[in-house]
Amino acid sequence: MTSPPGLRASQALFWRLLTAPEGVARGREALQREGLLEDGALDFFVRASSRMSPVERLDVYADMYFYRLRDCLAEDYPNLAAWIGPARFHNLVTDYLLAHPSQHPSLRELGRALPGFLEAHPLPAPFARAPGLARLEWARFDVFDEADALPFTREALLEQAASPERCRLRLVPALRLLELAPGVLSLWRSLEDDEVAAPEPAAAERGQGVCVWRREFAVFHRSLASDEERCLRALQAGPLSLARLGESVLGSQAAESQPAAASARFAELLERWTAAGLLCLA
Amino acid sequence: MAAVADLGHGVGLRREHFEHVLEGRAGVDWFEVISENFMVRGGRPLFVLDRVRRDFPVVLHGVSLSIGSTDPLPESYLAELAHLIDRTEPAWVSDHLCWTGVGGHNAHDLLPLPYTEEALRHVAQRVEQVQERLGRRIALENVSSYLEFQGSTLHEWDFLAELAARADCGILLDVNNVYVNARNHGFDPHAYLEAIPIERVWQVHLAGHSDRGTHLLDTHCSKVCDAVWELYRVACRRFGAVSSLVEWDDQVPDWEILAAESASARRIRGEVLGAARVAAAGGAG
Repeated sequence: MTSPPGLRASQALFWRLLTAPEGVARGREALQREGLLEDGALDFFVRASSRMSPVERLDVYADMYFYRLRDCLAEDYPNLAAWIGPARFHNLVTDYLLAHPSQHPSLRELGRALPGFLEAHPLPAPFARAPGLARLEWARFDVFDEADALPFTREALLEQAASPERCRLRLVPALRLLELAPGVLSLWRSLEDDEVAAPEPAAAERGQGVCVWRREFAVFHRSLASDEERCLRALQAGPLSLARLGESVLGSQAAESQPAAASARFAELLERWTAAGLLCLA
Repeated sequence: MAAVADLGHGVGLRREHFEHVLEGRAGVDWFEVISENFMVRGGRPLFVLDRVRRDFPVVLHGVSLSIGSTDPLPESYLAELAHLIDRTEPAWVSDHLCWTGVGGHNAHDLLPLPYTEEALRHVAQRVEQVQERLGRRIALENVSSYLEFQGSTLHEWDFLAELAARADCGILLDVNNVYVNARNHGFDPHAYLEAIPIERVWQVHLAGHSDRGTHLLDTHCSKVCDAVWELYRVACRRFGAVSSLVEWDDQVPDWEILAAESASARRIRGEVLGAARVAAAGGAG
């Protein structure tokens, strides 16, 4: 390059240097090795100032690129960042941004792929619960500004109880169902309370279904019993009538042998769901 | 070109102040909101926006239009913006004279353009397309920059003025950014203001910056410095009664501190325009 590049080439070059993980000088070297940049070419691209070389001026942008996105991810994943520590989080973000550079106009979407990235690129053994913790934090973040819906209330339930076939229900949009590894919820709780991270549970302990949801402007999560998880997953697949929803509880093996207990259980679940605002009319 | 309304003196709406503003204790004239923060489906952000809009004029200020990028214009983004415009009915819509990404990727930063005829043609054409798509004119803001391109053949202020004329768009004049660039690139900020056509300026931005020794950085994390207030005074003399907006995005202070900054803008403009009126009255006598 002995003359300034056109706009398209200029932006492509700027982008490569901006996103070079080890800074502009190393990024320039990489471009030179690839034969994409000649020696001294940056001098034809960016003017030096009285105090800064072209590389230093470009580094202002490269630093801002990384630190802005790292800070954004730390806001989305505060407990993960606190748990694994600043150095490990820094390296995680570096690797993540190389694999998943932002493709969305909103920073809100930047961290969406991080839980999956952690699954595929595990941290060292003491942090085996990191993917689960990340999935929980993202779900809580994700429902915060998810679509609103008028919750199906206990009063509405009493009104509709007489015609359970016609009353069709679905989950509110601001709800996520997760399957989390053992010990993730206790880890989140201890980190939230600023305590020492809860210890890893015994290997024999099973994973658990977890519901994350927003009611009005507050976000909640809790673990689910297996029958409750089964019902909510059925609702997640699509709207169900109150009658069909009941069948997913009452139709179980236990219901056949203990119908009264199963009915009571269904009533208990409906009470819990309406109180928490998990359902809305389809 | 029809003038836009003078909304008075506002501040950027930030979540740290949501409660204070909803309690009706704002004491400012209007709010600017970051468009992308409200391109969501529901929850508290949209609730707050609706409530604020009920009581105040609101301006939508975007950070991701990427008007200078060589990527195609982001149609899905424009559709979301159009939806937000319908919902909010803002006094106007603005974004930045910059690019934010290329190759389908986004840096979430306001990256500088070379000030060339090629870039001018490119951006002017895209502004026209955006205005056509949104069914309204937009304003573009001059950004802070930390480098200059060897290929630039125009001054930044000439590029901005010519762009506004070719695309028939407004200018959101960030006085702090003029000052930062003047210091970083060694030009006279007064020459910048003198080159900007008065009738194109819809709004003024004021903000704090940080001195990093080798350059000034537009950090929006502190009070407006005295030198920028002085430049604002000059801008008031030149551009008259233009809506002002104080931005504070990092280390966001208590509401009282932010509101005091807006009150300073009000006082300074009042002093300048009051003095101008007195001078005009004196001259007529």
